[in-house]
Amino acid sequence: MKKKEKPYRKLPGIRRRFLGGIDTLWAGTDHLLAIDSNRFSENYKRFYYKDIQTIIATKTVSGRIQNIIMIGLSALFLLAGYWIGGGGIVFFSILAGLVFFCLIYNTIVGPTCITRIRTHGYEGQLYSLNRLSAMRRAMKFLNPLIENVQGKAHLDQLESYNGVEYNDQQSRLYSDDQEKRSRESGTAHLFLFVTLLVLCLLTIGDGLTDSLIVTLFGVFISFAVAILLIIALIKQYTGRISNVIRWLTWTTLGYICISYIIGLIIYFSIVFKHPDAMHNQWEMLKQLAVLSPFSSDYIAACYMFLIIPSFVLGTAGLFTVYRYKNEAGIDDDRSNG
Amino acid sequence: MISCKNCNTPLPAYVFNMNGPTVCPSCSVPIQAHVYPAYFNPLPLGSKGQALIADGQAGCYYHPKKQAIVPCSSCGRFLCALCDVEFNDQHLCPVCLERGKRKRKIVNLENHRTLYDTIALGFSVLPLLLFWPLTILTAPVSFFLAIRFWNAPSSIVPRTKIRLILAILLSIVQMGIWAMIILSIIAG
Repeated sequence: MKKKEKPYRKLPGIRRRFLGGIDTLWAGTDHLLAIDSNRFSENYKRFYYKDIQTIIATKTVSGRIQNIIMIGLSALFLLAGYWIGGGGIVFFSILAGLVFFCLIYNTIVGPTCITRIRTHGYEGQLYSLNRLSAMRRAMKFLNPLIENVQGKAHLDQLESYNGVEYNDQQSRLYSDDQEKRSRESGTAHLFLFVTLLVLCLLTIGDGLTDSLIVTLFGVFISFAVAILLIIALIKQYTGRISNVIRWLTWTTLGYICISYIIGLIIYFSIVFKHPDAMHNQWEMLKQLAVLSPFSSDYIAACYMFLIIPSFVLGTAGLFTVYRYKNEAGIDDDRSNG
Repeated sequence: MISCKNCNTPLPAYVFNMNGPTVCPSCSVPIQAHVYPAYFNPLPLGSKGQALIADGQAGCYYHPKKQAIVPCSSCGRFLCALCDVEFNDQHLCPVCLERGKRKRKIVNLENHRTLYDTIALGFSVLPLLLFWPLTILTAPVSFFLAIRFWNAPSSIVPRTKIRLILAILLSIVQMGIWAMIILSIIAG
């Protein structure tokens, strides 16, 4: 008996959303079907092979950021387990193991990407193709289907693309214009890394002394770092800046997130020891001020974690921004004269 | 203009249709770009339809002064070039197309479907996980939904009836247990 032919074949790649929604992609006989499902109903988008103009995947850094966050979380859970001791070790080790398992899975599935599709009347994202490996496997299957309907784009067509749309000179002018218009000065990043170094010094001072003023000042500076980080992230999103500075800023975000979690753990440990301090912020600050890295190995480890990355990130950031500003100055001089 | 989605700079032609990934020349972010001939072809223009030239020529049902070129594959009415909609290798009039969409007779026009099988299964499983006494209400609902929508179209993509079967079995078991509990209470 002849097997019944299935109307659709599932393509690699799936995006799972919060609360169970999923996005998948299916190849039909004459069209591509994108399904957006919330488990109880489905919405469909169809892209006919004859209408598809471009499919472009761009690698993103979200996978790397997820990995950094998960490494930090698993280290933090282990630290918390050893700090609390007793049954806490088992509980936090299980949590750390779960996060580590997610980290392994995230590493195996590969780098993340955004895939966009364009037809005559539509341009949008193919949400299920959010990993480069899945995108490549899907394209291996999809390319012959589209080329079977449309044929291959010839070399003369691709060359005419340059000639008709914009020639080389126009392209260069456009790129130069973009370069001038959106080049980021790097001042926001400079302030961020300087403040990060100040925070590092204040944390050292806080560890060595029991001064309430140093602790209070440290709290204010850490808020300033958070605000400057947001400004720097916005600036580097809208403007053009060196890739190393971008990477350092994103790493700073990871560091700040983890240091806030460490701060929360310290806060709750103080609350457990001194319940009356919970509703009295001044008392809480006093408790924080008297916290010394010499009193316990775990507190010393926390201090080291707060000091070393902020020093490394601050110094590396300052050095990179200094070089970037110098290069930008040279370029400006060249263009002016 | 095809541009990099990271830096919005127009991409040069040499990065297209490479076998593997390449990088954007402007921002150095890895990209993989596939461009197909449809990008270079202009959008085909529709025809307004030609006016009737001689007596005895068939006119369009919706535009009687225009020449009919094809009958509708669904209702058989004569259609001019303006009214002819070619879809799924068929020539349809706008009314049949609209009716087909409304009555869900043309699968390729559907852009939403409710998955009654998952809903029925959800009614029998979720209360067990969240708050089991609710099953006294949800089990009959699950059973009703599974029977009522047994023949209703489910997802467009291939899918078995396993969810409906499980929903019926689970709801029958739950209703049976509740019946025994109620009977034992009545019997004292």
